[in-house]
Amino acid sequence: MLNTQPAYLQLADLIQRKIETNEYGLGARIPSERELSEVFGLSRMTVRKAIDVLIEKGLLTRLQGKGTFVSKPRIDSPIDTIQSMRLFIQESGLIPSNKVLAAQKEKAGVKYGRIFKVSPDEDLFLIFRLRLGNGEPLALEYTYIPYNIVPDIETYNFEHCSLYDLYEKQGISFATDSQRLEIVKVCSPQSALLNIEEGSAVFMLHNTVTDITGRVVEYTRSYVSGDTFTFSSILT
Amino acid sequence: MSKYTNLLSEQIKEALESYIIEQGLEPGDALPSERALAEKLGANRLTVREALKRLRNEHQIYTRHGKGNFIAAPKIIEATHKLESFTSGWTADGYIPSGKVLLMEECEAPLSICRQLNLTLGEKVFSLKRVRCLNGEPIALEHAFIPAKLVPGIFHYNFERTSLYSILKTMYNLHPVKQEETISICHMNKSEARHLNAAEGEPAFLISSTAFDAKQAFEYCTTINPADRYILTSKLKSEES
Repeated sequence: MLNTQPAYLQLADLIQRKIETNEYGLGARIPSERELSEVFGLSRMTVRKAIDVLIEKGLLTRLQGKGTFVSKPRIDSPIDTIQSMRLFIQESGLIPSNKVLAAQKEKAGVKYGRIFKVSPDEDLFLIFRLRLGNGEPLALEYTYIPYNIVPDIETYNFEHCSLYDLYEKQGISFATDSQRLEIVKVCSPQSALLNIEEGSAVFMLHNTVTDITGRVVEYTRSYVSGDTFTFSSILT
Repeated sequence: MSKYTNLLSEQIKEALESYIIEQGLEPGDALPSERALAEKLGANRLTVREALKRLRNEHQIYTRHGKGNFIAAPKIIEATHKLESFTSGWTADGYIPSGKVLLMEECEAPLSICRQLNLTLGEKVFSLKRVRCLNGEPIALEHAFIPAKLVPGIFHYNFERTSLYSILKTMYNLHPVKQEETISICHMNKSEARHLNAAEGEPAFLISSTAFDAKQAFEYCTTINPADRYILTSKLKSEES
């Protein structure tokens, strides 16, 4: 059957499909207007019109002198609900995954001893994870928990299992989550892992979680790229 | 041990944080020299320098050329879960708020403002741009937009001395019941930096908020807070507890 849609809309649909199937990845440069017009035998005008449609939809971004890029979606994470990062990523339509960079026992030391209200000699367990959405790095999380809070913590693979599920099995229920949001500049390795330039400004989010007995059961420090994240809250 | 967590300068940075706590160093106190720190922590000077840079990036310390490194003043902490005006919120926290009006005019609303306030392009809005200070230190650059039809005669008020929200409440019967905020990162341009006593290009919080009364969105405001002096906090309670 003959497609009766105007050529520019057909091309827009085609480019959109290529974005959806990840042929044009997030943040990637798509072929130039000249290349597209040659490949598909369309006038430059038609190609430009198709791209304009997708820019209007927010799928593409045109950067003066650099070309046209697939827009990275901004993830909007409510700061006023207790919710896991995994869910934020999922709810913004991206496929969440995570990479465990370290999972190890560490001494609390003075700094974390203070946060957990324990002696510096106490053991903590650190889970250092990179959160990804559609395979792109979004956030780095350093999660500290009391070492003995979950028996045999070393045996779990945090690429697949959620800390919150483990806590639920242990009968630990959260009571409060104190959050602090700062903006800092990052060095390596954080910048390299987040795939951003060294010295870029990122959000640094601290979450200190207590259970119903008042014990600190988690402290997480996350580095979140400002290009891909905004935080929001509704106050009443 | 993972190659990502045994980075020496990261470890030394954490050791420095512990050192600051143990020594009870206060804002304005000097840190020992790089060489002295290297000796104390058993690290080489380059690693200590790298670790100090990390602390500086997080605004925990500041450097004065030729004088060394000092503990930074604590950032001003703003709780996001309170719906109140700048003036009343900060007074309650023991700060002395003040402000300077940079711009007060009636203008035709650009598209971005129309979207937020449900106006048609070109409708008149009251626009008020202020620098807000706490204890004399600039902390926020605020630009508020209010549909002009809601606030006839608002030009008579002096917003250096009076809170915008209290005028809106008492004179125009606009009582905020809800506020939606989006927090993102921006880099201050020359004029923003000048008003906030900061360096051009430095990062800042950009907070866009829309305030609603029972009927409508009545104010859209963008606020810029320099990253080196500002923290946003919130404390959430689980619904079951």
